[in-house]
Amino acid sequence: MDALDPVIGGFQTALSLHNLLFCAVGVILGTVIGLLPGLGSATGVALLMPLTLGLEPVTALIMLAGLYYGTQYGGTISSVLVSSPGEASTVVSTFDGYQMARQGRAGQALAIAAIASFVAGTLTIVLLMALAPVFAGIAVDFGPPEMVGLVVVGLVGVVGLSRGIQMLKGLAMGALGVAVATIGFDPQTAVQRFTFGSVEVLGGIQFVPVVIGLFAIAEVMSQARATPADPIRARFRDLLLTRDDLHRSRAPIGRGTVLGFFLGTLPGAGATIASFVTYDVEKRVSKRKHEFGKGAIEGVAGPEAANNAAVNGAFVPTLTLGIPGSGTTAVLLGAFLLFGIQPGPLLMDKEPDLVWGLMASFYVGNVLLLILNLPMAPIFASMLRVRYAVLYPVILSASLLGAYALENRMWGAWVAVGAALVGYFLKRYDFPPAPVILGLILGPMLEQSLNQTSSMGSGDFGIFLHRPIALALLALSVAILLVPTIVARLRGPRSGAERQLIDD
Amino acid sequence: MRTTVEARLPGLVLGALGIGFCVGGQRYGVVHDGRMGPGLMPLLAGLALVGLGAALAVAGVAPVAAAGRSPSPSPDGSPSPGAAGGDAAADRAARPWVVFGSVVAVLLATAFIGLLLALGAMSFALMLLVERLRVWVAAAATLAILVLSWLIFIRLLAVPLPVGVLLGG
Repeated sequence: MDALDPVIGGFQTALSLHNLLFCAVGVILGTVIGLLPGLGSATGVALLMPLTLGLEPVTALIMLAGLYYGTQYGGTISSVLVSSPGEASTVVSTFDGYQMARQGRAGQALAIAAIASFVAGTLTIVLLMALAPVFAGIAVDFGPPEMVGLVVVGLVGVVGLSRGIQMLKGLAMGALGVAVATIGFDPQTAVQRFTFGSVEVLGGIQFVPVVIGLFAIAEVMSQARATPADPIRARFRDLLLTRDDLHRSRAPIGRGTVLGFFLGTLPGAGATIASFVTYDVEKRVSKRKHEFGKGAIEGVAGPEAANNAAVNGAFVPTLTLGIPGSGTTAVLLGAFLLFGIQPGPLLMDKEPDLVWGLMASFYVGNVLLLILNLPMAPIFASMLRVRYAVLYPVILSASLLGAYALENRMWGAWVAVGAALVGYFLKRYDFPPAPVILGLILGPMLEQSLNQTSSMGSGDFGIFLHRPIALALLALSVAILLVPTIVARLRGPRSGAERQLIDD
Repeated sequence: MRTTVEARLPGLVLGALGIGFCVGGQRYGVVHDGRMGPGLMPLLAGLALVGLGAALAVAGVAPVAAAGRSPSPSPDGSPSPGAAGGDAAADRAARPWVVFGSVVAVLLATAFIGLLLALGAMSFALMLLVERLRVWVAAAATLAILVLSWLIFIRLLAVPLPVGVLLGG
């Protein structure tokens, strides 16, 4: 029974009234944020982070993780009803979900999405709980050279399965994040770097205002040009699924769950890629290929299962290695640092209550989301009628207040506005913003590990040659960069849907 | 297809930033007491930026069409039937800069009227003048923003928001 003790302890933490309440707040806010255009999970987590500073770390992280879950559900609502995904990982759901809605089956599309998400989420939490200690156990003895290898995997991995120019863009953004992370005091020698005599910059560039600027304000700037589409109505009685709907969805949900989880564990792959790959698989194996893109329920069930399973998968490297599996887990990783918790291989050893409590809260969050989403989907859907003209001043106000509140100084707000300008141009040239954040978070870890490695080798980095695990991790980084290009060359040209892969 | 100057710009900017970090890294010292110095990391990141920037400048990065809430494309890449008709309206093209100017104005005005009032003024102005909402709608939404912000940030989180010199701050 000893093996189950941490799990039981985790559920005790997650089921305390206080944490349950904040989990519920997180999933409700997440659903709303996910369905509103221009507010993805990373933006939501970034906007809410300053508000959680007064909470216990475990409570704050449970709420932020709940929000992450909720955005996956909420994103589906806007994908199905307005064909305008609030969340990148639900882009695929527009293909068949929106078509179902146009045929008067919006309720069924939302219902199967909620059921698929719940089943995948619930099953993969078991996998997460089983695999996390194994990963952490392997990584717990890592020394500084191995940590360098691990951080490089994380930095390189965020380019995910992209290739060609998109890979170059992702890597350039990661390098930019690492470069910006060097601004301020050098922790080893106290040398001031790139401060240009400004006291404000001495402490470095905080990542939260950068996230707020890059994701929230820059998104508002981009959305300000767009014309909204009118949502399709979803009624409560439409939510009832037929026996045929359930029969057709069973296998896609199973395949989406497995594929989504394992793709989610790959650094950088994330929920968006998982949903696209699953859609592609379903299209290939289905006997009703001709229905795909025209309202096939399998095209909603599989990807929806995959994106929720991938969220859990992404937490495996995040919680056990300190390497985020997606853009949003990169931001969540920053939340750990905000609360003075160092993510990495020792996290499960040092903070077992927090890690197991957080994992158990995923299960609780999934149950809450199913309860909320099945009967209340039409109510959430009505929020799509809120005009963006009213919504974006709220986002801008929350962004500037949040950036200020982090350190109670206007500098944070100025950083957010500067990052927004950068973010707008990144969007204009289709550069992914998530690697910048990852570079900002992992940059200091990389520098510290390199410094320690340098001390171990008395300044000689040849020490890497005597550390097989570090070498293997560096080789893995090279493989992450090269394999997608090689595979793509072997496979030939891609479909329009696959080209849509976006960083989440 | 000819690569335009606009398409080379992102790579050139990244490369220039990279050169800046390389120069800074050299100045701070790459080696310190026989070990890694404070300049090594900026130098490595700078070199990566120079290399990647150069590659992007050579390849060229064309700007994408205006981003927005236009519905997602279908699996074959063709526009969705729910497409809202694009962002052709000329005044919408200027909106990103109106939004950006508004947030800069808020930060500048904060020293005089405080952050909360500056945000209220921005919200009201954007809804009334840019989005052309009715006065009472803009006023009600602004009031809601102010009340919620006050409740969350001042009452609940006890954040000492700047009040500005005109209000005795």
